[in-house]
Amino acid sequence: MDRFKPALRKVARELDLPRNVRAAILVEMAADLEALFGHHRRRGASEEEAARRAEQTVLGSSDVIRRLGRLHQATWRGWSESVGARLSGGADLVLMAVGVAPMLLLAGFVAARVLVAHPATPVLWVLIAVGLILVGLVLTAVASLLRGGRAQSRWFPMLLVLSALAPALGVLALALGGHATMSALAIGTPDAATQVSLAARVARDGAALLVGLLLGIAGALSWFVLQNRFSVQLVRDVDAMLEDGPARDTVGGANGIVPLVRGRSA
Amino acid sequence: MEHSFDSQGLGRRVNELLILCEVRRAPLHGYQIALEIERKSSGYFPVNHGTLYPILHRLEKEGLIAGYWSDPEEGRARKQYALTEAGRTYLSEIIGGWRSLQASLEPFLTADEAADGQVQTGAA
Repeated sequence: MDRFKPALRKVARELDLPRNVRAAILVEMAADLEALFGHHRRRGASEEEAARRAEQTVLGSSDVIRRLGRLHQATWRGWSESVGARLSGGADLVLMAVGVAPMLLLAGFVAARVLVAHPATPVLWVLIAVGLILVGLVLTAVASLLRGGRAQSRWFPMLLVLSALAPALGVLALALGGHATMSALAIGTPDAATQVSLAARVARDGAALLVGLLLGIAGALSWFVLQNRFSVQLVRDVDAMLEDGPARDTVGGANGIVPLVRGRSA
Repeated sequence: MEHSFDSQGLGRRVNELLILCEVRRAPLHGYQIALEIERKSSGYFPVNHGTLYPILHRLEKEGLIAGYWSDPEEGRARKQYALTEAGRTYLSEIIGGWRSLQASLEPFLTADEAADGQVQTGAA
């Protein structure tokens, strides 16, 4: 990777983007540079020629930096950088412990109470299944992080889908239950036993909504934490990739490349 | 006329078509897309000089392709791109547009060849 450090440092310096976005672009470019270098070497090119051709294909002109910068500019840059910075260094796991875990426990407790007290509706069963998958996913992710593993981006879409699905199912359970209750009331004045039954139904459907909302919030928070952890890993990858550059990578050096200052958002 | 020709950004649209066609079958890394396009076109369409990433990232932002990280347990993550359902629909549309362009050009190309033949015959 050393052979591409100067070029990647130049890109890092010129890409005026949030740390995580810039890191993702640099990691992608670095992987493609190495792969293309290997491709050209296998085809008989010298090291210099292979590196030159890989750089030409991947980095091209300085126009690519400008176009990428324009494409990824976001108005929430300051917010995302500050939140991301605060959540690094294990704070994200603390957030999972004090934010996500209590919400999931409360959702489980409410769901268990509903199942004990009332017959569950099909929507409630689906909601509980969604909740179990979501909890399994979050536990697997956290266990992986605690073992020192990397956040796996393949979980992100699933987490987002489940986080959106859970509250939607909660609302659906409440709407269907409300419709059934109102229909029963519309038939005539219910006797005392029916009133108790209807009240229990409303309580069950309200609990389903609560479970859905708790699962949704917990899932979204987990997604945010894992996404941030993934971005932090990319930033670390880039920092490791670009640090201790060769001697020629100095201010005003042969290539006119200025090294990244430690602490500056890279 | 269903499609009328708009010459603005012709090169960009060609690159967009080539990239979408490449990721249609299987997810590919950026460099694989570039190499495949060059190989299939025998070097006629060199994908470089800053064209690939801006197009890939724009298509990803527009939801026409999805970028996935390869998630290795160790080492650096690598990104792959795959066509989304929206991208598949869009690709069908633009392929239709290119076929219309091809059909619209055909009479001119054929007429040109015929005229060349007449000129050569007359000269002989």
